Amino acid sequence: MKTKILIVDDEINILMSLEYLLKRKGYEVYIARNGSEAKALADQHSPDLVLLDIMMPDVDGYAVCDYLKAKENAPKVIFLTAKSKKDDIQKGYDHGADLYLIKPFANKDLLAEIKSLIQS
Amino acid sequence: MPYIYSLALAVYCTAWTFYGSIGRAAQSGLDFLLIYLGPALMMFLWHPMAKRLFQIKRTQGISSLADFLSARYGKDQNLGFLVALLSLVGILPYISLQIKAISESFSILSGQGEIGEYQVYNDPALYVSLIMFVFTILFGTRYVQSNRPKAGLIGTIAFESLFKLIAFVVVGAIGLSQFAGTEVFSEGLKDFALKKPEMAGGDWFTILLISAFAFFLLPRQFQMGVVENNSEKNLAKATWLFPLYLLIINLFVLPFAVMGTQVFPTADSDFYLLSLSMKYSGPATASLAFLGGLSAASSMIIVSTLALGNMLSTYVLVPRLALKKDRPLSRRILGLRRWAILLILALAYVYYHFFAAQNSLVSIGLVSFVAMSQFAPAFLGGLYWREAKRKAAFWSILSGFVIWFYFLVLPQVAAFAGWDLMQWGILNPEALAATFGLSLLSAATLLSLSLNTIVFVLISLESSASLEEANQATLFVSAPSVSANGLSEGLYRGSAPFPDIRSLLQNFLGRDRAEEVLERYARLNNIDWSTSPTADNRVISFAERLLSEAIGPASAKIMISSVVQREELSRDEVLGILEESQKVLRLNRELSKREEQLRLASEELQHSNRRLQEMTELKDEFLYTVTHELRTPLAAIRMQAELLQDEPEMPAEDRERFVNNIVSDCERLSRLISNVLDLEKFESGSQKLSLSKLSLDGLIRQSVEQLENLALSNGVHLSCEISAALKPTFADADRIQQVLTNLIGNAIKFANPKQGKVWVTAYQLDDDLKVNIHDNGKGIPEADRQLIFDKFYQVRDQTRRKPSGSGLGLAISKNIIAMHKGRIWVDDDFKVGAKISFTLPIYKGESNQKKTEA
Repeated sequence: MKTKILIVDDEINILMSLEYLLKRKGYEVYIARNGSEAKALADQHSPDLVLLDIMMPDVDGYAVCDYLKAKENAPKVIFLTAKSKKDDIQKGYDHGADLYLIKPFANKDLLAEIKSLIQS
Repeated sequence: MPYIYSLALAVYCTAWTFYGSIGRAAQSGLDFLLIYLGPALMMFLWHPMAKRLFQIKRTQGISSLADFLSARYGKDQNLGFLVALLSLVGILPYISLQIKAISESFSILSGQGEIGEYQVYNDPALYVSLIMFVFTILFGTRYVQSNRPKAGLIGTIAFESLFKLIAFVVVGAIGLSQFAGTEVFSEGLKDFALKKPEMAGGDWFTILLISAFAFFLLPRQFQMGVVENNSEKNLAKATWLFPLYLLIINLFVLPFAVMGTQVFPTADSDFYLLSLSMKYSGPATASLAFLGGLSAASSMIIVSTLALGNMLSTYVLVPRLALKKDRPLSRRILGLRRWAILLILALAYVYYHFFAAQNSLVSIGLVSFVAMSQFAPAFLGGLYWREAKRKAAFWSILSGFVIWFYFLVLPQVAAFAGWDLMQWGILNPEALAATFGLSLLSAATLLSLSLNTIVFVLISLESSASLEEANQATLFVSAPSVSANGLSEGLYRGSAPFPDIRSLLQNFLGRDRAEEVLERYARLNNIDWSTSPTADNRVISFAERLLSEAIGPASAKIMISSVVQREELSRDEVLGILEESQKVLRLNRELSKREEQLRLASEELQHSNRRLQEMTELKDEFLYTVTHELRTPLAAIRMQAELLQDEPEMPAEDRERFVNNIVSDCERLSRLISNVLDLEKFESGSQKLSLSKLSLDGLIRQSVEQLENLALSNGVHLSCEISAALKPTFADADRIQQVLTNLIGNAIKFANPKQGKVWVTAYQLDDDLKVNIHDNGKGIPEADRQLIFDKFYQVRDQTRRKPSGSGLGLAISKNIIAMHKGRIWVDDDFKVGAKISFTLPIYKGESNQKKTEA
């Protein structure tokens, strides 16, 4: 059974590129452009892993993370964000994230992290 | 001369020394010596103090203790009056005592029996008093200027002192040689050795203290030690000559006391010297003893009466009877002084007649000592403490005398009047003294001086001095180091017709004397009176000093004021005089001002530090936001570039999409960067506008045309309504277009996604042109309406963001409109969507416009 990954970002270009990259690597990919969409998709498909932006128009990434981690079979969560301050990173982990990656990043680094998170 | 001066100081040794010491020794042993120990110790302090007093006496024309205190405390008549009167009250019994001594010793010598058996007409005391009057007048009232050293007087007193010393020593030596070997004497010595001193605890200190004060405060001592002193050079030798004199004159006191107690156990111990001499040495020696005693008593009477008469006439009689400047008064003043002397001697005789018989020499003497000690705080304070004040001197002296009267005079009055003080309970002076564990004498001394000193210090600190008093205080306290003349001239800013000054001096000093001093003054100062019709400051000061010598400083001041046209002292001069004391005050004020300034500066510093910190934080935040905004497109670019790199055989369709995205992200990046730079320029003020007269109509239409495509692709209907007669504005066309593009672009983005509508309207409002950009989107939350014009406002709500854009557009627009003296805000008169409005001023001609720009 394919690993399911949900991507949440309001930046359309980033969303599309991530979707293309992960699909090519054989994951089953869902995309959401805001927080509420993300919650709905997560409920519907129960992804194994979520790539989550923080700054979004409606529900922010932290709230989405809380929601996901509160679920029965909580997915792994990787924050993908431009917020680069120490405080931000700490806050990300405080909300239960498994990883915090700062944009921009190398595609292969992201893939490696996803792989190791899924295997663990 | 030092020898004469030292001998003159020995006027201290009166009949009391001659007879009373032996009496005291017979009663209570060695304590009689304390009365001499006090002055002997005082001599060590006397030299510097007398030097200062000498200087003050000369520059101020001082001829008594009352003059001294009056002059020191602002030339005050009332203080002089108080001192004169209280001196009289304090010293009168003491003078009576001397009369008593002479008359009693005469009785004993002539074998005529006890005192009190005489009628007035054959009472030797009366004749003694009369003879003393004649002597005193001869010595003391020859010149109206009473502080002129009287050679006759000081010489006579010195001679009398020498005589009484020799008499005492000779009589003592002869007497001792007669009875030294007798059995009675050796018995007496044994008895004496067994005798316990009677003195109450603390009395030795009391006597030491009051005798030290008496040494310079007794009228006769002040007269001899200060007024009659004609040279500072006398002082050094006196420091040891005078104590030596005291030692010698006391050598034979003890043997006579010892012998007397054995031989005449019931007789008056005060006259052992006479009675023993008559018994053992024969009438010739006894006569010598009598003459010694006579000279001791008479010198005391003469000098004391003279000094008191001087004070009494200066402060009591002259101001009331003789202060009229239009009559020759020098004779009258001398006359009053003689009357005063007569009055004092008459009073002394009356006192003697009624009271003195019942008291011993020493006890009455000590009462006077305590009385005179009441002047000590005011005197010493006046000499050494600048803050000492007139009011303080007055009340301290008065309060001290009240205590003195209560303890030492009241019991005598009561005894005379037949009151029973025992019925007074605790208010009985003896009982009250006993509750303190003190003798009457110690209680009187210690309590009066304590109260006196406390009153003096407290009132001095509380009250302020007049200018005159402050000046005198400076003169007295800084003498002799400060040139006294220089300072005193400071106060006498004024002038007087010279003839007035001359006639004043003639009136008070006598014609001849006045001419003599004026001529000498003219010679010394190179003045020709006939060509100097006006007397200046220095002449006036000189004249006042001369007058002061005749009628005292207080009256002299009044007399001089009557002829001098005084000028008001200027503010600067007053300040100058008081500078010394004010300097400290000013320094203090200065210091606290500096402190306040420092405090303010430090607050300022803290404030700007806080501002700087805030600005740094804002800058950091801005920088962080900028980097954050850069990261997002950069991330997209990198991801897509890597995808292209990793997959050379990517389908053409995907490849084209990624490449296009990369290009648009790059555009977004460069737009962001140029916006940041723009904003930086506006905010630092380095952005310049190129202003011209332009029509807003054209600019709006141009902007709308440019954004037509964006509107179409977003499905937004863009409409434009511009008032027909829109007046021109004066603006930078490019910048205003930038604002319009930004605002309309935003409106298109935020318009309702389904049936999007954007209206642009422009019309004239008063003196402004108003432009509104209105969409039918979700609108702007009330709370954000102010914030949206801040750069990256969405950062404040850290996790929310606008759908797109750099977040700098509105901040830049706001800066541009502000530079045009316009206003931009969120209008809330529409229920639907968001409406941003801005105004620009109407064009009013180049020159006016330039003015508002400037």
